[in-house]
Amino acid sequence: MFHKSKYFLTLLGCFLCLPGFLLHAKEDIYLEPEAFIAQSFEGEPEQKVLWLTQETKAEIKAVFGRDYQGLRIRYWQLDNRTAWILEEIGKVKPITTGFLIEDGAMLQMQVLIYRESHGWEVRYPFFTDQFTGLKINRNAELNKKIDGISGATLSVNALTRLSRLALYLHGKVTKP
Amino acid sequence: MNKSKLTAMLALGVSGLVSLLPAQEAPQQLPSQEEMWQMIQMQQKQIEALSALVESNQQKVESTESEIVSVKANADTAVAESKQTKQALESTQAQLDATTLAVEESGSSSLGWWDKTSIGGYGELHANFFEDSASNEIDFHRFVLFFNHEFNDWISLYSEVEIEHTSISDTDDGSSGGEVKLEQAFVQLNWNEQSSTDVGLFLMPVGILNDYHEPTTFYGVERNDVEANIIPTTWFEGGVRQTHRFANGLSLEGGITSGLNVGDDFRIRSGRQDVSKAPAEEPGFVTRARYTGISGLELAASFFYQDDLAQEADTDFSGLLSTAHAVYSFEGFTLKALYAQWNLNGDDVPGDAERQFGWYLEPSYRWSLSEQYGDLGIFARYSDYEYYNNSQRENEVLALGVNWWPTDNVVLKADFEQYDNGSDDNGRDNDHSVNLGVGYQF
Repeated sequence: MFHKSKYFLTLLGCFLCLPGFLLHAKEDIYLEPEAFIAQSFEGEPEQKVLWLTQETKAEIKAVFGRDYQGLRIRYWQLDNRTAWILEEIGKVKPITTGFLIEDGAMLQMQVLIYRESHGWEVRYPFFTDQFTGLKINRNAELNKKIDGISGATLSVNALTRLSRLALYLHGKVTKP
Repeated sequence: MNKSKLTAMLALGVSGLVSLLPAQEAPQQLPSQEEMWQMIQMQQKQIEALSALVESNQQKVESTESEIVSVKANADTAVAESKQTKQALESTQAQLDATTLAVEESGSSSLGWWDKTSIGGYGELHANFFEDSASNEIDFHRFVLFFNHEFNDWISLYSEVEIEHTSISDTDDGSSGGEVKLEQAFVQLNWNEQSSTDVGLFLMPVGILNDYHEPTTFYGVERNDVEANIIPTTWFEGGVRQTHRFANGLSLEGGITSGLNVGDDFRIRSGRQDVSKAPAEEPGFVTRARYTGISGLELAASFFYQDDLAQEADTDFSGLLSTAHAVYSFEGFTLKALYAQWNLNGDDVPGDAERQFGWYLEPSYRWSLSEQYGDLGIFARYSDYEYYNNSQRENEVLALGVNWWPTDNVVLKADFEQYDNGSDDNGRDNDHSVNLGVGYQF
């Protein structure tokens, strides 16, 4: 029976040594919000502010399902392209997410800062790629269902709600 | 020739010359002096009128020039005022931005520990109804609170406290049904985006429900019998665990933990010690590989090994748990499949206890009703398992039911369960039950 312990100990020893190797092989998967904005536009976008008036707050609540905190929402715009950095609680901590939208369709969704202990998968392209091309209809409903990740339901739901909100806000600020 | 003849000859010559000239109009008659004087006076008047007109235009030009100068001066003044107004507007905008930022940040001050501490939780109430009504039961099965804290950018605390069955009574024989448990309390060190180490008390990385068992995340009022009796969910140990996450969706975990302490009944579930003054003669070793790189798909396999599951007892036998599961979701459809098996090895292990295993298959479908009324789901689950509890027990359970999520974090459940061996393996001998439940998480 003891040789099996050695086998497991060897495996576990490898795992426990991983941090040492990985400290020298760090990959920056996250993006700083400023970097996200910088890479989202070909020219220099104009930084704008959407003030959360009473009317706007009511509209947001209808789309988002609850009030969005803050007095204003910053966004960046160049022609028909807008970029937004929004936050929503996953399980217990906020997820900071960047949205890039053009002509009413999502070009990119990127998790910029993830603070939860579980659900790390939502940061990676194999999950976020399905947000590309997302749109909303007149009732602010998404045009397709987002496939979830087992064990990350709350984070997935939060990102789905944020996507709806971002698309709605894009439509609001680019309305002729 | 005398002068008279010469004069006559000149007159004739002139006449002759004149007669040779082309005929001419008779010359106009010149205006008289009076007429010429009138003409001169008229022209003088015209000149005077023109002079007056020129003078008037000159005055107008001069007036216009002065107006232009005045307008230019006004324009310059307006430009200067506009510039001042713009500067004042920019200054006001900057003040407004600063004020707004201060108001926004005042709600997220980083000065206190409370700003880096979060609280969450879940709970569930169950009502079970059997054909033998004496077995009927209503129970607030779990009330759980999470307390998490971020010490800094890379070190966090995760903890979970649970109260089961509402209350605890101090009985001489310890028969009180209630429990207060610390189900998680570990410090996580995030070395980088891919790698972390957990030290403390944590949930074992095995099965589906052991990690994620909030009532809103699974179908059925009670947790499924395979994971409850075989894995045995909810199972937590103390130790150290290393996790590495790859960008392609693969994660690997390995840990050294406190072990089970299985008694003479060879029932695995009874071997959980809850890290409560627990014997630590034999460590356990756990490892898991999990893949979620395809949206909607989860594949996982885990192993747990302990040299001597009995720890303190005189018996001596090893145990190896092997599990594998798959979860696939597409649109509203989900299919879950899990297999778990214990292999006990030792001279004292009864033959029927050497292999304890179980599996289940659970298809389900979830509809989105509306924004206001949330989602509705239906499921079916077939479970087949064998375990040992002083003797071998086998069961096949068919469950059918519905979940209603009026909002994502609240669920109402109803299900019907049929037990092939005439028991729900919780001490209630009935062929079937109807179960109702309500659960929440936040």
